[in-house]
Amino acid sequence: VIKENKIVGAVLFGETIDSHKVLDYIQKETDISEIMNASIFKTGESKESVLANYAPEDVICGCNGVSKQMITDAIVAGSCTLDEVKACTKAGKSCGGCIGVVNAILEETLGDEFKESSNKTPICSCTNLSKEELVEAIKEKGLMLSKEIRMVLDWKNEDGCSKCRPALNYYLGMLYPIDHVDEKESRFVNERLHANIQKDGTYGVMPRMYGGVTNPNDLKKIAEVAEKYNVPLIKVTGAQRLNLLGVKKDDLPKIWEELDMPSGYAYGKSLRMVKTCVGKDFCRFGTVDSIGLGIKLEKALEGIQTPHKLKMSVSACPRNCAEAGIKDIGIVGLDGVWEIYVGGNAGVDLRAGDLLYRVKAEEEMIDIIFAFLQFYREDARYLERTSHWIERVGLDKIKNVLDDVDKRKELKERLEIALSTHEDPWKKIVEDEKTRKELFETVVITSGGENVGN
Amino acid sequence: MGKAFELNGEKIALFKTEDGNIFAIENRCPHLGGELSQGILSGKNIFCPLHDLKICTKTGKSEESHCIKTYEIKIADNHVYLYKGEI
Repeated sequence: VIKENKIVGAVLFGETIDSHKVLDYIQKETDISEIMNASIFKTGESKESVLANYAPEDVICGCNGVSKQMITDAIVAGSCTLDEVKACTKAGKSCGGCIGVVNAILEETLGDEFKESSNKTPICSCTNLSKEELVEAIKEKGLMLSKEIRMVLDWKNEDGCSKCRPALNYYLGMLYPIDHVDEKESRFVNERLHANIQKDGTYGVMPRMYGGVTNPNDLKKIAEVAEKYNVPLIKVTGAQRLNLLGVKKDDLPKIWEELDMPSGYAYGKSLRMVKTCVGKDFCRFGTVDSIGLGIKLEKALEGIQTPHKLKMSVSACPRNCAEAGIKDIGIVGLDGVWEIYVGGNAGVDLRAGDLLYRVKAEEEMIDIIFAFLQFYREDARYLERTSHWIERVGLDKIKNVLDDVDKRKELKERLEIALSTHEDPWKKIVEDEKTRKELFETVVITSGGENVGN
Repeated sequence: MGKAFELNGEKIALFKTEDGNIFAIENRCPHLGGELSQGILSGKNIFCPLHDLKICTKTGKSEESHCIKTYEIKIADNHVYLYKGEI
């Protein structure tokens, strides 16, 4: 948005490396009349020349107010990887939108040294091992517990940190779906308490609404719970369901019990939802039963643990009302053929999904989705979305694996083993008095005594 | 893992480390007030659940040189005694 030759606002899609330049023009109220008629931002610039437009004092990380100079200083002082720069300066530690620019600064400052080190990224600063080396070592040495891994593989800090603890717990669960006992002390709060923590320490409760479909009975229960517990905000989310926000930690198990609905896993590194359009039963354009397929997939895959959150959708025609092109796995049902898109993302790094396959039979489409999902679970790094994973390993590698019918079958079987262990976490906690007390109860003492328990 | 207590309105987080030590700190992150008892405990350090600030449960100090209140703990007869005066 340009007003009197000054940029007053901007929305960027796709390649957003210019965002800081735009922000700079806005903040400094730069007169852009001279550059406006040419091209404000020369496309196709290399990272180095893009960086040349940043003055040392220009802010690169808008979340934490980190300038280019502060990043360069940290690199010169010895921070050689993205993680080290993040730890030292906080740049890229919040939304992550500036990571591309931070990497470019690392590349500019360190040259080839950085390129070599970026091929092998340690999972955190407690170890030099990459995810690939780590998983290899866990398998080779038959390690079964996080603590064991940290000791045997010579962790620099044997207690681990908030990065490697959840990662190790994930890798162990992925490798040993039946035998691994989930280490709840290594879980981030949301996944430990099965709710989303909010800025004021309250939580969000999102029950399952398979395929984004609800009914009067569920709506009544939600309304009654919201009234009884004075829920301050009920929000319709982007995942086609309702979020009850502002719930006190101590009330969570009581609310789940009264709702008597499955957890929506809105807090999890897991399948979030299968978004659907209206489909052929009501929509005049719909060619397939997108709601039916969405519900079937959501029921089959709920609770599956993945490296990062996973969003799916099913649309019933090319108009794609369920936005399959920006989901981790998106299905578009056409008249006689299913299109499967993968690696779409509508978040910090906007990315259109890649068309993985077009298949005729519904059964084959489901086999491919299951195999793709399991390959992602095994091959991606913890906290790597499908979009980043595909960018890193390339779509061809994934296609090569999935083209092989035997491998496809094996992957599907391994996914089914992992799925067989699923239990609804809310129901489990509601029925388990000890966990309710341990995780959800705040002990309140109001007498003058100083004994706070044993 | 940590445990949240409220003692005459004072919010306290109690932690038992893997080596068996018990520490008590104010249950409020110096950054933006996160409930520290809900963070990930690694050794003596707790990582705030809101923005991952690392705070030592023994000293109450963070890497950013913020400092929060710590409480003295004594263990006797299988009971944990907490002293409300500042150390």
